[in-house]
Amino acid sequence: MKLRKLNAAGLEEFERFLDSLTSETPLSFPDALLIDQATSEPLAGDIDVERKRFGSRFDAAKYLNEVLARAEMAELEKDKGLWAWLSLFFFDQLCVPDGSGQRKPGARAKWIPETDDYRRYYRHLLAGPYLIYRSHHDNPARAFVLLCGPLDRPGEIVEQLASRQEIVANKAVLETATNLYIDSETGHPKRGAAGKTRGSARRFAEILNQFDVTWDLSIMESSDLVKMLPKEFEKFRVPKK
Amino acid sequence: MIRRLNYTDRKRIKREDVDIVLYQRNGTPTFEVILRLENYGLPDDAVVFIEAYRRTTSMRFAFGTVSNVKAPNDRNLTEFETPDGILFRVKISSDSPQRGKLLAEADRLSFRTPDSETEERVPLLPVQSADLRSEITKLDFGDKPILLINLHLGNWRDIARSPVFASLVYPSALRQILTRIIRIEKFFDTDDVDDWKSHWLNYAMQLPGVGDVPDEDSEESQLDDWIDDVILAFTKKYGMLERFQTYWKGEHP
Repeated sequence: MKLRKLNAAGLEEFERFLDSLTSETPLSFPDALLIDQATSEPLAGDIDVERKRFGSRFDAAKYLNEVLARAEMAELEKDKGLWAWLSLFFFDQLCVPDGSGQRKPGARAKWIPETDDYRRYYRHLLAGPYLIYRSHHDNPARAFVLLCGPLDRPGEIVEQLASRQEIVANKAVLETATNLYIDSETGHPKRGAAGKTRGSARRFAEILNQFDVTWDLSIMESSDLVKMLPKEFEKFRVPKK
Repeated sequence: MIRRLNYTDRKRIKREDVDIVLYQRNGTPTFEVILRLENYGLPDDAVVFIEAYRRTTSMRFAFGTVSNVKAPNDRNLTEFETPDGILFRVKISSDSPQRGKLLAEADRLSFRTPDSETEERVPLLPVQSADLRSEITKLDFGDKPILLINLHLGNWRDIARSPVFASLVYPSALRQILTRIIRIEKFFDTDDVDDWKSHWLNYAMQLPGVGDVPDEDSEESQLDDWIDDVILAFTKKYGMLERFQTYWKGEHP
């Protein structure tokens, strides 16, 4: 299918569909919104997009980065219509039915990005991973801690670390967090990383806030940052072989 | 009492030593900066960064070193659709031996426009537009309180000044802010010139008939009473009841 963007009418219909999913009369999937000229418009560049299945946020971000690189569009990351169209296009894997067969879309920011507020912007299920991936396009693996989860459930670590733009864009911080919290063999978060206990990602975010008062974290190396971390993080450090 | 401690002897760069001029180039805000750093005794190789920020959005620019301040070619503030409410901070950090250690800083710097000699005053409660979907207005506590008005309403500046909006929204906003400061954050310091919360407490205390901020050990009811006193003084000072009555009588003659 050719990549398009929802217009105002399309956004309204998309919201109506989302609202209906938690009502007693859920609407059927509004496929037509994606192509109907009354609800969407084409993008310059005639870009093909495939309805692929993604194993993780990382895979989706990588694919979107490749596809959107061909878009002749300024500031596409802030285009609500584009991201809403993509959310609708990939809806089936972004909003998986629960055990009773019901789809619960949750917060609207997951579907239509709130580009004015970074704390909510990153919650968009596709724009969020895309922005993170693009920020680290030189080495996306360093941001794996924020991209390893399934597309429909970003997880607690993302909630703790991705809501601050200065953290998301910081190479040393993300490299450190990935090294600390991701098991390099399984590619999954280590046990306890997403909890509230000592050394968890939540604590890491708190410690970063404290460091921020006396350090300019943006110019530091991961090796410097690791040395500054309190003992509580030692259990997550990979022992040197 | 909560205070921000400066353990590292970080130097505070004076506002008069940073001159930021913001202008539009091809519809995008961009900026020039003059930094006067020679009197701070900073190492020549310390690195200089300037950050532009507003609410949760920020952009960062490398400006070389203390001995060789050099503006980057691209200073376009592309993350910001309008220059309204953009603030700047200057960060000067050690390059060695402790790379990244903050040596000097200036924060909450406002800018001036090319045809103005003085910086734009940063209001205590900046008002900005934002896409609030179906909400008309809300307080944002991201960095410091900002009153947001839904951009879809059209001329939001006129709305912010309208008697009905002012009389209904501003007292309520003030109540929310003070509740946040002394009830939620339990902040009672009136001397921290860098902290927005101190600014608001000082503003409240200078309203006619308002006493000092209660002690941090005060009963919750005493804190609420003090906030009530502030709101009453505020609504009286700005004639909020009359403003609303004027509006209402116009609508229901």
